[in-house]
Amino acid sequence: MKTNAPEVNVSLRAKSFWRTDTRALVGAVVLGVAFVLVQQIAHHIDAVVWPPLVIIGGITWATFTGLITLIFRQPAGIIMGEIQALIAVASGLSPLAVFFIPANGLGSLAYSLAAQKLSMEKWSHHFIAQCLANISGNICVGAGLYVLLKLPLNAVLVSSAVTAAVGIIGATILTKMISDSLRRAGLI
Amino acid sequence: MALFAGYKNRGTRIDRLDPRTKVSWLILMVILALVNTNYGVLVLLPVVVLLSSRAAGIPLRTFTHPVLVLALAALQLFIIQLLFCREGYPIAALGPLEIYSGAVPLALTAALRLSVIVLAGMQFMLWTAPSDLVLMLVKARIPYRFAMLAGLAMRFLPLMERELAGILESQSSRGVTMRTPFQKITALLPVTMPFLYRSFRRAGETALAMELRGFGRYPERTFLYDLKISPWEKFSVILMSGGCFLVIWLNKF
Amino acid sequence: MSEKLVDAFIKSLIFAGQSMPALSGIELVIETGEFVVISGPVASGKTALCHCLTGAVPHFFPAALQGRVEIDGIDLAEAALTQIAGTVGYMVQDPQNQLFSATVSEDIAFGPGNMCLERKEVRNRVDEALDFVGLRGFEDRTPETLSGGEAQRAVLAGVIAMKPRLLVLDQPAAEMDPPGRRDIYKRMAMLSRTGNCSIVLVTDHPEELRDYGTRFIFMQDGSIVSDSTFPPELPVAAADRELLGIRRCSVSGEVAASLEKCSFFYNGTQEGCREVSLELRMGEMAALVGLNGSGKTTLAKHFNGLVAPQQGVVRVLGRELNKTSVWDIRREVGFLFQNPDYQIFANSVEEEAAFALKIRKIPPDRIMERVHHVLRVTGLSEYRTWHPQRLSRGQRQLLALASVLAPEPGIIIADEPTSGLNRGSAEHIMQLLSQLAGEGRAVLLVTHDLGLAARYASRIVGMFRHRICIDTPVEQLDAHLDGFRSIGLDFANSRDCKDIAEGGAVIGAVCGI
Repeated sequence: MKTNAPEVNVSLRAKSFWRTDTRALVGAVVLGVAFVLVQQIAHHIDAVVWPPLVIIGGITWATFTGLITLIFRQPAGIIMGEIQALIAVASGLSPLAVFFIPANGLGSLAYSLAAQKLSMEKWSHHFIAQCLANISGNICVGAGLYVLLKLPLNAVLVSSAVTAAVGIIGATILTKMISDSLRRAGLI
Repeated sequence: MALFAGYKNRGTRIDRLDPRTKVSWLILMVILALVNTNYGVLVLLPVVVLLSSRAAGIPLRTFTHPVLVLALAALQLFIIQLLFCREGYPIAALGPLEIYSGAVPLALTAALRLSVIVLAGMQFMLWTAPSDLVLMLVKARIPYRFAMLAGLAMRFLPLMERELAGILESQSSRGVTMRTPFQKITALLPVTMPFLYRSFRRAGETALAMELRGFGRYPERTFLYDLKISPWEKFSVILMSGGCFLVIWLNKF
Repeated sequence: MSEKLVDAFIKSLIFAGQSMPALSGIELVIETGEFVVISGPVASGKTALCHCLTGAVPHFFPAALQGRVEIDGIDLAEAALTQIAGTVGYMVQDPQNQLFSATVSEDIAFGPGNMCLERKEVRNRVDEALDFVGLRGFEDRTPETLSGGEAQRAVLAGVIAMKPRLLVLDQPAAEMDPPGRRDIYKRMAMLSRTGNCSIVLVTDHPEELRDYGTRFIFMQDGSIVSDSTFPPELPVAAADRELLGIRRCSVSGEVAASLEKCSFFYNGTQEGCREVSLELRMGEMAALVGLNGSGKTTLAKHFNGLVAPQQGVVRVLGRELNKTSVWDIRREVGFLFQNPDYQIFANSVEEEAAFALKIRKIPPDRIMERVHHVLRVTGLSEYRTWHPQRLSRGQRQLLALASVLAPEPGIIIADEPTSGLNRGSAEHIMQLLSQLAGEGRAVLLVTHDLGLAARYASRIVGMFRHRICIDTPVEQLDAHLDGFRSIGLDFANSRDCKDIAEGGAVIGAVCGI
């Protein structure tokens, strides 16, 4: 008699940068679509509460980017981000989503680099990964706003710094909480 | 209202065009918007996109929502430029705030550029069948396991949109109030978590079903249809590509 | 000549995060051409066994499997899932998650295309599969426009187009109407006899397969308890047997909620309800029945303000809805949705049941008291620390009911609460709703299941084309059977009306609507 899995460990996969199995690829697509729809709600709240800033949108952006990259790794993180950005542009949901096309990919890659080096079991690991993702993603969006839309540099800096700061704090908490919850739920 | 109307075969000549022709048109529009600084051309581009969509049988009301969103974004751009722009010379002062002459042209350029990119992107998705998109990516030598994901996204978008609406209704029935901004923020978790659980469950079930139907078994696969590009379409693709290079050349050198 | 196709020995199977085995002591041999029907109560291990027979365990679901499963000589633990494709076909319960292409024909071609068959052969297989499942004419339909039954047929076509040696089907026809189910079962029986293929089919209605199945397996607590040819008396789980004693509630008096000539149009034009009037009384359980799209759910949503009629008056507990805060009304009206997963979000069963009380700012000690009570009533006490996503679908529906009941609403609206549940779970939910009505609450049940409606409700309200056509106490149901039949609802055969196309000129003409 053969025993193929004597001990069950939920995080069955070895820690690696890449994961190209079907579940990761399909997960990237499904979560990319979920990301667009949740961002729609987040942008609506931002527009009502603090129109010039992207606070809730920034937190949900960083949470989805971190969560999916953490669980499905690469290229799923990039695929999820690009699907979100392209659907957001093509549906007219957010005109600024044009800048998410490079930002989502870059943010996810930066997160992956941290997630590969760290065990991601401590709060500090999530914090470091989110710092990298938020800073690189917001630099990308900021550059787009400055170069292509010719927005004033000080306005771009303030907006990007605020979005990155809330994104780092909010998403660090949410990514860890949600990934723990998904693990408890047996869904990952 | 659905977030995105999606592709529908309207039986027009444009519908039957090869996706490579359509993507060339999209690239031409985007490059014209980003590189060109002539206001006449920038104003004309969204009009061209809307008229060509109409010619493809897409009702103009499909663009109502994005146009409204673009109008709001334009308003924000104007406010930001009026507050922060220091290009040109002061033309007015409101107390300590000075408004500079460069503010309006910069905001107008940015708003028009965004409009063209968004409308042309939307047009591409509205007149390109997801299956054509997949075949185009396969032709571009992207492995089919990745190319087919584009079609999958379009397949799940309406389904998941309905699901999210159901979750919002369900939580609202339980007493989750979403009147004030604070309530909306606190409602995010009860709305997002069921949606995430459902999405992870869906991802697992779908991936399982796909693998058991041989997805990824071989490096290549057979598609039910193939793309066919006519000689005059090839010619138009070459013309559009030439147009792109010309615009970049004229504006940058 | 028959040959051994499946050879399975499962000493034990334990899913990740669980301590109890989902399967134990399973020894199963299936020969070519057999049509094996598997049934059993909730959590008896039917789906887990299907997972093992298809390689989903261990390749997809993290679990400790002690034993071995061989299909056609292939050890499933050794072969990748994509290598098993073509040998094993698997159809799980939710059809919409198993349709991945833009159109039905592309979806059916998905599998043969992945096997790199010639395009001509792919097209042949698409045609054959379309004919097999009766979906000719649906080739260019997009999956989201299909009804539940049509989507199941489309998935089945996709699986059959792979021409597998073993077909494993978990509730493949649950969303089809009875004639549709019979038709599909008949075709499957022919396929198993002539197509060099074996079928394993899980169902909660094994009696429907008596004429087609060649072998019947009954499972309980993760083990096979009987394995034979179809017996004259099908076994019933002890838990289900207890549920067969139905107590129908009696009607008391007071009006709990009412609709007066209410009309509602989606986006101002698409008809939802037209001039509907309905009184719901305390202590009664009214069943709202009708074909798909007849306006049942729209009507039900009036009672808690999810829908605000453009004409007419809604009163809940004496208060007019448009003159009262909708949030106050929702405290009094509990709404149980068809899909429990649309509301469950907490990290434990207990937290989930307490959520509605917390947002109403009830004191913590009172919350604990209420939560313990509703979990006891719904039979979930022993799972209170579990993550809700670890529960079965039926248990999650019970949890949704528990969280609806926790704030003690006077009125309960249940929209298709038994949809997608097996018989045991469905009867359990209905027993609870009936009991609640018996305690003096008003219950409005929206359902496709005419059998359940007739057995549990005290009153049946029939809708057709957005209007109420018939409203009768259940005692007088016999006198209205023709009327119900004329709006497409055949109580005489306890017919499930889920997958019957809406309306139709004939029915419309008969009703004069």
